[in-house]
Amino acid sequence: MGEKDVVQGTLEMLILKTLALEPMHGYGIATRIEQVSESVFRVNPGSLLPALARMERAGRVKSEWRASENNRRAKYYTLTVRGRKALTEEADSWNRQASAIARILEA
Amino acid sequence: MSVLASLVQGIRSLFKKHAVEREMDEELNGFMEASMTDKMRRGLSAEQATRAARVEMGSTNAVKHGIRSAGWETRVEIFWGDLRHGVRTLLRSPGFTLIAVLSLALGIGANTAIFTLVKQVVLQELPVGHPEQLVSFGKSTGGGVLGGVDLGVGDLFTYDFAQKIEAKPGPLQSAAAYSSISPKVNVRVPNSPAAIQVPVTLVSGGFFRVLEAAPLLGRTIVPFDEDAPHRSALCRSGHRGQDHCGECNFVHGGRRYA
Repeated sequence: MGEKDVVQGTLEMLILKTLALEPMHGYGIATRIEQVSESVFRVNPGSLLPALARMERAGRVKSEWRASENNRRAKYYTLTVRGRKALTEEADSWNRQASAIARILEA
Repeated sequence: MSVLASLVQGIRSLFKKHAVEREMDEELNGFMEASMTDKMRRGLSAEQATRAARVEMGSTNAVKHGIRSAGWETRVEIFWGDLRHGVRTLLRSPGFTLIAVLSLALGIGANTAIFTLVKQVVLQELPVGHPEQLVSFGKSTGGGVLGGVDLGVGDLFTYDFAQKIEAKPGPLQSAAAYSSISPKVNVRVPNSPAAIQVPVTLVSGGFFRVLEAAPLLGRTIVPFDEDAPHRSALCRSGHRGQDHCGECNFVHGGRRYA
């Protein structure tokens, strides 16, 4: 099974969707994306952590240090109201684009 | 609100670099450990899990650089670093730096002087009504005869001519005249034994009306003053007035002065 990077420009949307379920730390987000995409997408920390930092600056997520499931300190990210709104907008835009591509391919 | 939050976070990153760096290291190490634990749970040995986690992470410096680039403060730091490097380079060649600085200073100084003059002479409006409608005919200054010295008569008009133009301005809205030479007259200062000398300009009675210039105190010279043969009227400019006079009596044998 080939593992690919996420489609360009969609990483933030995937992170937002993952965090919409529950707050998570960085590794948890990467694992969840890999699991739900059935290993089609794998996010490496070099892409994930900078994306999380950008989103935090943009106010879409907020972070706090908490004890993880292993009882170690980890930085947990939570979706903000602004993040939920961004998720809706980006998901709509993506769906529109995907439908348009599908129509072109079927034509 | 995120602009403010970004600003606060950026300032925190600039001034608490070590704390921010420690947090980044902690997050990266936490990621690595979680990754190793997960891989070991899937059946890899400790060594294999560690290697796989490291390969996945890549260069920690590159990851940290990516995280830092998310904020505006990185650009500020880069700019500051470039500035310091530039200053250090300039200090290494003091001769060149001195010449460059002097050339810039000369150029900036000269341009400032020129544009200050342009602003005062060309761009700044005269403190009179409708300055764009004001035209001076003849550019003679210091022309005529004074104290027996003939300074030339170029661009001068006679008083008679000026009176005629004032009476019938023709296409002009109105006209007034002023003298080409500024003599000095004696002015008595209250509570002072000595009189002071002030430069004055002879003007016709309608001068201030044509200029549409209003006085701060009292009145300006009016046509009535021109008609009265043995009276003198003095109109003091603000700059001059601040020197000495509260109330000055001006004495000069009945000539009209402004």
